[in-house]
Amino acid sequence: MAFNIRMGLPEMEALWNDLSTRKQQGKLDRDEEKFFKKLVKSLGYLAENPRHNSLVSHEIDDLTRKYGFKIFQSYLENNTPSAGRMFWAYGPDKRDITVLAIEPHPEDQKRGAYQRIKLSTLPSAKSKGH
Amino acid sequence: MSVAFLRAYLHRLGPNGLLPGKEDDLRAMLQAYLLNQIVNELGRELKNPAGQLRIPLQGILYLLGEPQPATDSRRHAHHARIRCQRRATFIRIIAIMSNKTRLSSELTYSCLIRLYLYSQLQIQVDSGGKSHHSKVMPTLTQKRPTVVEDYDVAADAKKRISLRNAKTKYFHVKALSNGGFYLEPRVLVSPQAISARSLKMLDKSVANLKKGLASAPIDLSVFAKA
Repeated sequence: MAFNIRMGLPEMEALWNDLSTRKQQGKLDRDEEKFFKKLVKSLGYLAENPRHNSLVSHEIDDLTRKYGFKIFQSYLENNTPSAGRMFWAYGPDKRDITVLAIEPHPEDQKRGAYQRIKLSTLPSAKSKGH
Repeated sequence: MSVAFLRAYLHRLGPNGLLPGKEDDLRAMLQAYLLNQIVNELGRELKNPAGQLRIPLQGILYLLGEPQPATDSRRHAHHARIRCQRRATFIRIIAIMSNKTRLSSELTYSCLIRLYLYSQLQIQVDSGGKSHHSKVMPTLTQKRPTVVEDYDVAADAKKRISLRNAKTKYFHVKALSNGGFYLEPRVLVSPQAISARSLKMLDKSVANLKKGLASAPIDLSVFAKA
């Protein structure tokens, strides 16, 4: 693998451990199986080549400005409107990629799934003074 | 306090040519600089999703000698309603400023342009439903819509009613206390947005990453053939 994939939050690591353990035990339900398959495939591509065509990786300028380093977004699936996606960044070490957030398909019907924040197009703090 | 400060400042500075000689010019200059400050504050508040836009907006209206808009004192007033009020206030301020002949400085034009840009910004948290994907259809701006269909419907067993010949796929529905329903047609807009939940995750993850914290590398080799 070209990159090590790390999880940015203990909760995400716990989710991965839970899903992978249950996958090996054959205890995933149909939806989990579907999600896990997409996740493994995407993380595999991410580890091999973050610019893999299937990932459609692209930098999110608004988030980069917000956090002060490059934040990328990749899709978990293709040819799906509003596909599930993950946000990631390089680091903390060389040859490391940290997955910062995984957003499931926005059409999921869970409560609060639609609560969304529109990204700002405000100029960054640095360029504001000019 | 500010009056006393300004009085002392002007007294100390005296007539040295640094400030405009006429009181009207001095007043206009002060107003322009104060306006610039408030617009800067507005920009800062807009950067913050939980920003208090009401305060700088009211500050600008006060500075322009305009009456304050009526505010909803309920803490949990509907987001969309607040957003509409803010948009209306922005537009009102821009209109007032454009008409003020005394405010014809370069600084004021800069404020005007920034205000216009801010009014176009969309920093918002929607309260639910699919409204985050949609915006009001242009047809809603018609001043006098006419009735093109008039019919009765019966709710089905699940208390649902069907619309005939709906002009759009999406509607914003308001159920009124008198049993009536108000439907606003909506159209889809580009979903250049991120869910509040994901943004929270990102905040935490980025904070960890900045401290050099991340999980151990995950093992994908087991699932390589998947």
